[in-house]
Amino acid sequence: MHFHFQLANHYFAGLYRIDDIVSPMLWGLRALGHRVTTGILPNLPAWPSAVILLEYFDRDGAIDEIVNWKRGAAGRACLGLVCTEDLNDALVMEDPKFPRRRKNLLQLLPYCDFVWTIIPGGYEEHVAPERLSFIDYGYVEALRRDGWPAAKRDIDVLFYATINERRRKLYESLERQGLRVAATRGYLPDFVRFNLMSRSKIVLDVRRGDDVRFTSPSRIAAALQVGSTVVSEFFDTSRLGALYPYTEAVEFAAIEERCVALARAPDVVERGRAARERFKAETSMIENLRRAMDLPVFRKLIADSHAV
Amino acid sequence: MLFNIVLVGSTTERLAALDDTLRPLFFGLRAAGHGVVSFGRGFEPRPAINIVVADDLDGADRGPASRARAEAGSTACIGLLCPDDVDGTLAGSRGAELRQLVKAVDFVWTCGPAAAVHERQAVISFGFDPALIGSRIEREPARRDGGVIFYGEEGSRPTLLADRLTAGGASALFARASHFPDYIVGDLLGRAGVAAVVRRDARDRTPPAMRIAKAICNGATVVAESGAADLSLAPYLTECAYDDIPARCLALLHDGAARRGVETLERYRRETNMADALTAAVRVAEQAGKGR
Repeated sequence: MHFHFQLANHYFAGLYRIDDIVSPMLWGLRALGHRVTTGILPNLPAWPSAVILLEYFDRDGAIDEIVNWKRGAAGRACLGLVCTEDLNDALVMEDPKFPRRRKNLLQLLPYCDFVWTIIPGGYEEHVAPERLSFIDYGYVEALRRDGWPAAKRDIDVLFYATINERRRKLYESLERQGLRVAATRGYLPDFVRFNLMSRSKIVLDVRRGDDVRFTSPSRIAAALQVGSTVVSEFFDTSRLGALYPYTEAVEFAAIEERCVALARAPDVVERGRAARERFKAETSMIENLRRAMDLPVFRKLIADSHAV
Repeated sequence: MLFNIVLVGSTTERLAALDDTLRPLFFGLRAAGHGVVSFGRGFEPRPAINIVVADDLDGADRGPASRARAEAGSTACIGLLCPDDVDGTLAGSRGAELRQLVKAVDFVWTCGPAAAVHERQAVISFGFDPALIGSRIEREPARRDGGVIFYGEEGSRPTLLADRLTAGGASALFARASHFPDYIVGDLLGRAGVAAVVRRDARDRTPPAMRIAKAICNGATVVAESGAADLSLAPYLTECAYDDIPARCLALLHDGAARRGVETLERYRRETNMADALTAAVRVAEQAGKGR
């Protein structure tokens, strides 16, 4: 069947930030034999294509166009929504810069034929189980990249994230320890991001605030795909914690010490490569997407796609 | 050699806009056996070759000409990469700035034939590398349903052409690297029937070669505005005058453009090589590296 990811609701830099979220889905679906397109189309494809949006509706009227499309299609349109944020995370959902975000999301959910969520963020309270699936992140061959040889790695620690106050303090502490530290800062072209990861001994996965409840599965998976040694902040007790065994997970207070020890360890690069092989052996984005498609709407879509 | 591409002062938008230039450079240099730092955080001493991008240095504080040299130190080797058409830039409001800027560097790389502005100057040519091939090329002609993509800077010149195409019944979209990340650009070009590339400014000598190369690598049939014959990419595109572009695109859409683009990519793959395309540019950098 055909999936179209319509990304018109994302702003310029946001399209870069969601690359790690979207790409494993695109490649996993393609590996399952589906046709997948992305972009910003003026005319959306009709049933039995599935149009997928990624949640981020920040302003007044942000959902009007898609709701009108759905209403006007008289049942011949399939709308899916990927939700990446915790509905109860005030830092995101009550950000004064985007006061409409939560309200828009809740208004759109009833129009969705299916909702895929990548974090356990309270969506089951708003979406019926026959329309809701969870997508775990797993290994996908198409996104495998190889880093530089150990001797050539010129960055000790890479923050794979934007730098806010919480992360900046850690950044500076690591520099004071004599480590070479860098940051992607969130929105670089993919080949530059891969280059930075390839040159790094350690990729750091640190949450943006103490009150964030869930880790970033897409960030951890992206680093594992490159064979990076990932130091994760250990705090998430949800199912997302299943990714921690592929990382060097420690609590925030211990990150600095862990990074210093690892940066000096002769096997730091080998650890990351070994973690990726375990990630590959034990997880599969393809299987995770197959499970996410185990909903009534997909059975209808696939049947109708075969009939076309 | 180690090429250190110093981009740490670039804005996000500028970095994105440079994607089509830096990506082939990065992979071509690597394929030629060189080390490449794609996002240098500072200048490296010789024997490293530092590459700065013309547009990244236009700070008002100290003036662009002196800034790179001051930060790099007097002995570092610095090359200036000019992604925009040099002739057009010289004729425009930033001409004097560019002339000043080249005085502070050891060599200049342009992305197309250009007026001589430095004694050590070379053109970056473009060619095939496996890492540059689009990952989402639609090879089934019936599914190349993206119409005409105007690939490059927006502005009145392409907009007028797009309006004429739309009036002629074809869909015309704009795309460029600074609008979208590569996973979207690749998808749009990979489904396009025709990619149209026009000169950014009427005073430019050629249409932007890096946009043409990107479109070819994504299996799109390329229609480029006059001037493209000066580029090494000429055998892989259809060149025509500005006013003729809509009619030419429409004709190609109705005459196998979807198949032709994929066939052209296969020829491009056989006949060109990004590492070889950089030979002249690398030679100039090597000479500059030894020269001071």
